[in-house]
Amino acid sequence: MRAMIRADEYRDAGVLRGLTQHMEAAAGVRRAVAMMGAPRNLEVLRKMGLAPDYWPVPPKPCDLVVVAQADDEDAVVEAMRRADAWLAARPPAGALVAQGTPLDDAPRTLAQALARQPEAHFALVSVPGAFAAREARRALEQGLSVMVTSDGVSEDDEASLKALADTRGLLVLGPDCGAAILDGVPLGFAGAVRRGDIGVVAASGTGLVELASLIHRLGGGVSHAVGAGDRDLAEAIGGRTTLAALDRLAGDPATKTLVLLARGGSRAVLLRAAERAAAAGRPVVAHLVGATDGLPAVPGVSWATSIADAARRACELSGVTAPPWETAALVRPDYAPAQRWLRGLYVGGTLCAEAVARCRGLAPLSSNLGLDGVTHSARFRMPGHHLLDLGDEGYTRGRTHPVLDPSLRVDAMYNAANDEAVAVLLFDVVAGPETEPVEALRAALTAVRERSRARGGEIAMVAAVAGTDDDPQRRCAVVAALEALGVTVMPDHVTAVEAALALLPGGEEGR
Amino acid sequence: MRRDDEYEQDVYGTFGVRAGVVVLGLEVLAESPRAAGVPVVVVAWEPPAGGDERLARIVAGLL
Repeated sequence: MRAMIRADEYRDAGVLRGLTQHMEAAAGVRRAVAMMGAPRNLEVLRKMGLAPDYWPVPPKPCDLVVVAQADDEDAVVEAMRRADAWLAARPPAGALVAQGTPLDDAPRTLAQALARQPEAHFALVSVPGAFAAREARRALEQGLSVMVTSDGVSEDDEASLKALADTRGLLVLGPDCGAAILDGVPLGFAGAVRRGDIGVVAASGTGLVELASLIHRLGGGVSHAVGAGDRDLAEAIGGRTTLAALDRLAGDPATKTLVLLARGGSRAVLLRAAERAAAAGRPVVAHLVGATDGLPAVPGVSWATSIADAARRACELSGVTAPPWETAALVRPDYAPAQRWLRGLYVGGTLCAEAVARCRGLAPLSSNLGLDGVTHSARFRMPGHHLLDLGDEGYTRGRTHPVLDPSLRVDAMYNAANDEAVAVLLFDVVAGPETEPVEALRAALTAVRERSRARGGEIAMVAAVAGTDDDPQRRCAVVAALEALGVTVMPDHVTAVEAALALLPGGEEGR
Repeated sequence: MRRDDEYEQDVYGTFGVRAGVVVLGLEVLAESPRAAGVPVVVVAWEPPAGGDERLARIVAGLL
């Protein structure tokens, strides 16, 4: 193993991930990691067993730390050489250089960026969480609305940012908002969705992508999709972004139908938001993911039973009626006697919450989501049915979200492959705009199948794929790649959960 | 349903995104808006106070 410290060289998480993958692709390299030298990152390195016994010069937070573990000394030297060459080809602020902007001329602050482009009205903030609130506040003070994709922003900071935005007639999307579609522009990991007359306000991330892509696949279209942030409907935040976004959509002539997709938060705030939506005089579909009891009737609001149901109802209100999905018959594998449990490995918190809600009839049931009546555990392996949101802050501190960095989920899939008690593996995939999502999972999914067969059984694999065929990573190609690996892909997420339940040993009666 | 070119007539759009976007952080997030024809400026962002969160909070408090 060898570690390299490059002093005072800040690289963003996307670049670090690219460098890690480049080194791991080298012959003989078993593991490689590139991280900034922040204390919590060094702790992650230590837990991964990739920290040296001692650092001759301890890394500083602004230092780039590169570590490689390989079969022999030659391979580890070659990995470091590849890292040097890869970084040399990508000077910091590489995108600006690629566009012909001299590096010395690159804006170093928001103020410098606005001097170059004074007409900009929107900022995307994805800096490390500890600094995100500060950058978002500066953007608001300059008159920009902000989408904060970073996690690790405190509730107090979120409340004060959103209060500031309210006083200035601006919006704060997020924090931890991975996707949005505004003015027809996909942001974050939102994909290509047909423009239309359905306006969406969602918690954030994969739930928004699932809803918007289902509307597209059913034949409808989206005017705007706003990610308000998972905590927006909490009492302390008061739904500020949700309410402000609904007001914007109410004033948008292109929006004829509204969808409100909530996850958690305060019932009172949600009902206030539903009433605000209905006051716009347009039909409203609302859904509270994970709701286990009925919600009170709100005039003008139709409560959906799932994200997929919300998409279908919205399309119908928009004048688009689609036939039911056609699904292939499910074939339950010949399980080994020890196989009993469902294991869910999600990158999307909203989808994981939807899965947990559907699985509440299972026992024992555990999850890292911290839901009432469900055992809390963030461990990869638990006795019983276990559903994990791998995008949770507890996992993403010091590393990139698993939508962009699949390594955490790959580890969790290998864990499932080695667990003789797992019967069904359920997971979500975002087709999205960036890298092809299946290739990184190929070896782990193959291991799941082969290792379970070697034990005399077989793990059933079920997935839901959010995205459209208009995405650069076409959904149909992603689905075909998964099916070739033996994964059963269902047309929407809630159907995938139902399929996973039906495939459990004993099926309905076995629960 | 409106055609895309009709939407383009709204220079600022409902949410102001089409007028221009400033990206602070992940450069990869510049790609989608740029592909949609939105002017994008990427800030060559580096953590303040050398990435020392505690020191950065103190400095921010002084400003």
